[in-house]
Amino acid sequence: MRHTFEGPHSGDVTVVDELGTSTGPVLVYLHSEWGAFEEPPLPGELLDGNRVLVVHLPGWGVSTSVRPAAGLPDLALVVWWALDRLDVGEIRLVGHGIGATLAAEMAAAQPGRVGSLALLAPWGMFDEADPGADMFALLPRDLNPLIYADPDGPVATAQQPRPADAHETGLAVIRRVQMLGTASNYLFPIPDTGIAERLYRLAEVPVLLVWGARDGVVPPSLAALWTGYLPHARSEVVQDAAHMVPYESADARKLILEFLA
Amino acid sequence: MKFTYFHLMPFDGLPEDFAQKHRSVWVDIDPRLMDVRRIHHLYNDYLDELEHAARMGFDAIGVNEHHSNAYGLMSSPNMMAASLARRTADTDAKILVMGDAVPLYNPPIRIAEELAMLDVISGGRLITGFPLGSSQDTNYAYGIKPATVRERYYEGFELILKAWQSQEVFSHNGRYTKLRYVNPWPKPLQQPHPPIWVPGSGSLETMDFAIRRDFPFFFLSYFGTEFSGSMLRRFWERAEAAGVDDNPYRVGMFQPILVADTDEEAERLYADHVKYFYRRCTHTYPGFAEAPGYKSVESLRAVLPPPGAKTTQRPDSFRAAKDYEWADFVNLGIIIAGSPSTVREKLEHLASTMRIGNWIALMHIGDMPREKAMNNIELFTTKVKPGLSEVFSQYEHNWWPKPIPGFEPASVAPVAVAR
Repeated sequence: MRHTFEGPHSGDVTVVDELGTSTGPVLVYLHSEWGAFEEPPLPGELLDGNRVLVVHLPGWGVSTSVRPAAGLPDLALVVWWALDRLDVGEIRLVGHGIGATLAAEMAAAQPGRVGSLALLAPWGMFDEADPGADMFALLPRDLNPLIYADPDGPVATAQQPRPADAHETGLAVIRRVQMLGTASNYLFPIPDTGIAERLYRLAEVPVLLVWGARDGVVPPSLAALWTGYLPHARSEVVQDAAHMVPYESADARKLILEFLA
Repeated sequence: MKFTYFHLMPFDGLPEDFAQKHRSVWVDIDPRLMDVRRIHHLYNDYLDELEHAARMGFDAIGVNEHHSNAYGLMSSPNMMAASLARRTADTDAKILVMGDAVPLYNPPIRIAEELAMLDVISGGRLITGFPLGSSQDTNYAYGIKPATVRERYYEGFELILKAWQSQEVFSHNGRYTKLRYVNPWPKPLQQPHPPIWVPGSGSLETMDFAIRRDFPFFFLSYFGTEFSGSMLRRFWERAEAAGVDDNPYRVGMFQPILVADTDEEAERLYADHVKYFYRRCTHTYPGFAEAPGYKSVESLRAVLPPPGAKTTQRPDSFRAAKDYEWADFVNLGIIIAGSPSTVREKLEHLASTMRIGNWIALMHIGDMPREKAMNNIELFTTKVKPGLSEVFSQYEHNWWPKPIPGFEPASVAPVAVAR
């Protein structure tokens, strides 16, 4: 079921998809900078008795905003605003990429409402010694091998089809610009979002960090920075996956489900 | 018509296999290719050329702005213009600053201040160009968030105009700039402000902005007037729809122009330098062309190919130009080159068919040595420009520096340029 809310600002539309019909515990999924894919293994696998809510992040196309939020802490307030309209109390949060950074911001804003937090390849910290590739300055042919462990495999080709037709190619470019252009408001030119300074708010929140070993844009070495601020967090690196880890790795999905259970 | 001698100030030491061994001439060009001792000589040669052009009768001389770029060594156009203002004080040549890219400066009143200084030093000879700034410069070299570039431009533009004209100290509470006291000292000599020319590379938003605000629109393309004809036609259509007049001085065009005694001599003199430019200087990594968000989704939809269209390589692309020979550059109109009569006829034809009142002439190209540039300047000013200046003389150029009543410029000792 799709919930569409006008707001929070005049002209904005914020959309939340509710998967299944469960009235069980609420699980909120925040998609990555690449948007919500129509038939991913996640978040469908998360149903498992949960009431799963997929939030379409404002500006990524399905949810629209008249202007980007000033920063991810402001965007977090927008997502809480939408969830409040669904009478949601305590939630468990799963986020991927920029959705993970946003999930951490939401938890920092209202830690008492987040029962557990799974962060998959989160943006938000930066290490000059291992900066990762500049996602905003790479052609698809150069970027895909850094975000997919198998850039020619089924996940990559389903998520980023390569049409031969110029019209379809143009539409793919527009979709890419919509996604990454919006993400650039928060991650450009350096993806240090300042989240580190707010992580002290998560001291009582159980946290799982998951990285794909071959992530070329958010390097797994950043896990050490995150756990430096979140010493109670569990951190895992899964093999044979890159930045699109929740789609590429069944092991990653299993880790998440076990953690949430 | 008015002619501006315009310089990019390129580095001339890129190796022959640059495009094969290096990723990009812009943004992340290998710093180890830099030869600052050579650049010392280039800067001085290029300034000599600009001064010579002023002295030989060009209507204006022009500088521009690029960053982390080996074909454009002017990261500060104002610095070059300051030198030129003094060294051309004995001429009537205007000084076109086709920087400053407004989004790059915070607070933007820095631009208001420096351009006002230039206008005052030069005795009111300044023409300002306010570019949006390329994605390479604004986003990648200067780290501006792509989706904010145009908003920053509009906000900064209005702030600069108000700072120049306001007779009161005022406050500015913008989205990108907040200033309690705006009060540049000095303001420009030309009142209410120096002429403003708006450069663009094809965005309809920029054209409409120029039309709406009654500023001339300058089309910047390295692919010549013939390729750019469709863009200029679009400009005139939009201008007519907006109800503005068809004064040709509303339009300017960037154009490489190369003059020799004969058409054959032009090829012999200039072909290698044109190829240097289009094979090495324009070798930019395509990932830097437009950061996601720099251009709006609406703008991208406006140029979406129709369903069923095949993917083709556009002729006006740097990739295509890498394979061009001299005849291609000439026949495709990317360059206007040849004998004085050939060049004059082509310029006349293009000016009349596309109503172009202002030419931004690129007459030094690639790794051209100083003496060839000087020669090009002399042939153009003595054998091409005479006569062309009268074209469109029935129109008033409303966007050109005017004499300032009662103003007596300072006496500055003239400077001879050694050949």
